[in-house]
Amino acid sequence: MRDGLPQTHSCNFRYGTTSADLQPRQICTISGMRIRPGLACHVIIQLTMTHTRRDWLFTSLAMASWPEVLSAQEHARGAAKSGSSHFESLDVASAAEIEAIAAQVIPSTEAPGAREAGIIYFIDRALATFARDRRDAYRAGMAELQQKRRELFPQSDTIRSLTDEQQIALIKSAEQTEFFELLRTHTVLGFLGNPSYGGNRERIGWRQIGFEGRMAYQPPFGYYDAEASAETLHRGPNGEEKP
Amino acid sequence: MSAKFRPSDAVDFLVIGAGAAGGVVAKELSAAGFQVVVLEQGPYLRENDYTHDEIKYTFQPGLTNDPKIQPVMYRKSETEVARPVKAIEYGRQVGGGSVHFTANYWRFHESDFHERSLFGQVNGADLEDWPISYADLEPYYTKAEYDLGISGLAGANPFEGPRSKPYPLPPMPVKSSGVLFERAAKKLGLHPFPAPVAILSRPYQGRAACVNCGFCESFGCEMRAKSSTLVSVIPVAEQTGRCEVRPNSYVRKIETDTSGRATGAVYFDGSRKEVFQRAKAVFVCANGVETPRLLLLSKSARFPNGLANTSDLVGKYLMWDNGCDVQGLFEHPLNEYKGIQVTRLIHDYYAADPTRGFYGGGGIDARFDFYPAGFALHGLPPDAPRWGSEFKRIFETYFNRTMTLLSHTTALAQEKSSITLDPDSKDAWGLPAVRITYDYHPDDMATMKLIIQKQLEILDAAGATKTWVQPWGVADNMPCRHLMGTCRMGNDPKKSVVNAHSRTHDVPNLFLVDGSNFVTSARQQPTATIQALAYRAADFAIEAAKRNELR
Repeated sequence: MRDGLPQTHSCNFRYGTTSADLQPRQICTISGMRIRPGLACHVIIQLTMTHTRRDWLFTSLAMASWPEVLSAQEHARGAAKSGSSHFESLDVASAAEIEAIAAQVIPSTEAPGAREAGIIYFIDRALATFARDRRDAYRAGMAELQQKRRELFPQSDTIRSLTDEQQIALIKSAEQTEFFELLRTHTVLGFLGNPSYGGNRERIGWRQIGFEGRMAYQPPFGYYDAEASAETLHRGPNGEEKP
Repeated sequence: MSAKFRPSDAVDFLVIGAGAAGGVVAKELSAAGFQVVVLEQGPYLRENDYTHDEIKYTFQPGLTNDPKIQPVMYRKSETEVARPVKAIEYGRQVGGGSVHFTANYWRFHESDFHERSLFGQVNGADLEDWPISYADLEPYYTKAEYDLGISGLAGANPFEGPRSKPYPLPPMPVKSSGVLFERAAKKLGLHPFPAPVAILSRPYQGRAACVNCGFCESFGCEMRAKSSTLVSVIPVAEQTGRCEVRPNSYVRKIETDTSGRATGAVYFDGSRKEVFQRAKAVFVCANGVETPRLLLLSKSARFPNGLANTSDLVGKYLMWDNGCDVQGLFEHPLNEYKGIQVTRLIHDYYAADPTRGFYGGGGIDARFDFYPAGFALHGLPPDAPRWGSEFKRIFETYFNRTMTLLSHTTALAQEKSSITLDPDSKDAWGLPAVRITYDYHPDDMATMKLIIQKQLEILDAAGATKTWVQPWGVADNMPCRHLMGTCRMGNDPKKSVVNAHSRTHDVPNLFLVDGSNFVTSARQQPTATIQALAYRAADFAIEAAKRNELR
């Protein structure tokens, strides 16, 4: 799962009922790409076997159209980037300070937290891309937090060097501010958003909440519908749907 | 093969907006032999362009209007100065809102068309009967269900009006919320039924069935299983060889001649160059906000108050997307993120009941309403900590064990609730930004309060170990997505903007069809009715064109 996508994936294809659907329609369940009909069955079977995403991309070159391939490559490149460890918009020192706060929003307990999910890389990239207009908010917000830190803990040098208790006290003094809400939102987005943004590394956040992040599921989906599948919820004697 | 017309060609019909209504109209008109140009302000995206990216589609305007280029100004009342708030949201691409909607597909009830007669007037509101009945629209609901591909179970909703045909496709597989909801509702003596949805439960008309990926609400379907106009009727329109869809085309004015007839529209193309497309007749299907805005922008010496606005009602009677999220925690995992959003609902509290002492009613569905990050930020109990180890423990353990019930409740038409042009703010093309003036009618609040109690009763009966109510009754808390009422339909030209066939009273070759036609809000979920109205308006326009009324 090094690139934020499962190493094994299956390609779903179905046979329709109309004449237009008599040919198999292959749909890659990860990229959602529709692959041209008429593909030999052994290729389909091969596709359903274990492949890394990269292997699959190369296999698919022969059959997908160029725009499809390019868009998939772009997707893969974006996913690969999520492993980067250099900063695009933050300096190392302020990144460490921001990370210390994020790590209190979603702490590392017995289970991984913001730090392990690479939240700081998510925030760094967000400030270089979709949240570019929030750079000043971060600068001002962190300056204000540092000011609060000096007031509360005059002996301290940095937020990251404070004890957990001190960091919590510092956040409590600022939890009603707009900046904290922004940082909290970014931390959660980085923990539970798509790994291609640089956070949620190894799908840590998704695994913590039990979100599988696959492209297709089959019923039963959860405990109660599995339990009910034997019941007669809108079903006739042969299992057919009825009023 | 898509057609290609020159702007100087006076095509038979110009359709503004390629959404739920515009896609239908384009297909009907072109299939009937007419030349059609469709102007869509957004891009032409395909299923390959969509992804399961929560950040892109729910935290950024991935498929919706972007306030950075199209500011939305909001104020609660006329006495306030409007401020920029994304108070309204609509789909902005070919296919419009039918691309990213949750795909709920409710027919209105028979009573919805006659509530003024059934209930009487409401203080401070303008409740009116529709000029049409359910029976007038029924053939078009059926046509929409078959043309687009709707899954559901006919006869399962005992409150629904008579239908001429069953749904073309069986219901989608029930999920855990549907099972819990159905058990609880039955225990309470209610009538739960499988959700009718614009999602394919089986392959249909060359499209594959849904794979239960769970990303319907706010997302474009990567499988083409959601029956948007993008994947259903628009390709049919293009295949006639008589329809050209022009994306990235932002209309600024509908032009008229000295006799007061529409002659086409001026739009900015993708490179912001002005183009005038000539046409013999014009359909505006730009949604309940952009349609009235375009009429107000289309002022001329002959129409100083805005086009088709002698009634002075263009933009008035905006009705809001009312409803509340009420949630419950359960012992076992529901895994609500798997499968389509909604599989069961009730209409037991739908009818307005005078014994309640106020007008209103609602439907309640069980749904997956919060994707992972959205759940941690907006789906937790209001008393849960917002950061720290307890915050983390709660979002981790609650995500798969929470059931959400969303209600869909009435919004009364009030003259003071409106779409106007903002006097100061401009969009990226230099046009006046839209200004929303909206506040709830007291009966709307009373209805939501009542339905929340019903939602809590159902969650309790389902065995929830904890229940909570998300903040409600704050209009600018989240954007209104059902844009209804702003070019009201009626027989009296003084009290309505369009007639019973969606033709404007003032301009004989100008049609408006989308949520703006709505006289009442029903109980939200407007798409089926928007599309039935579109089929009906297209039918009428085809006949009018054949009679040579539209030149």
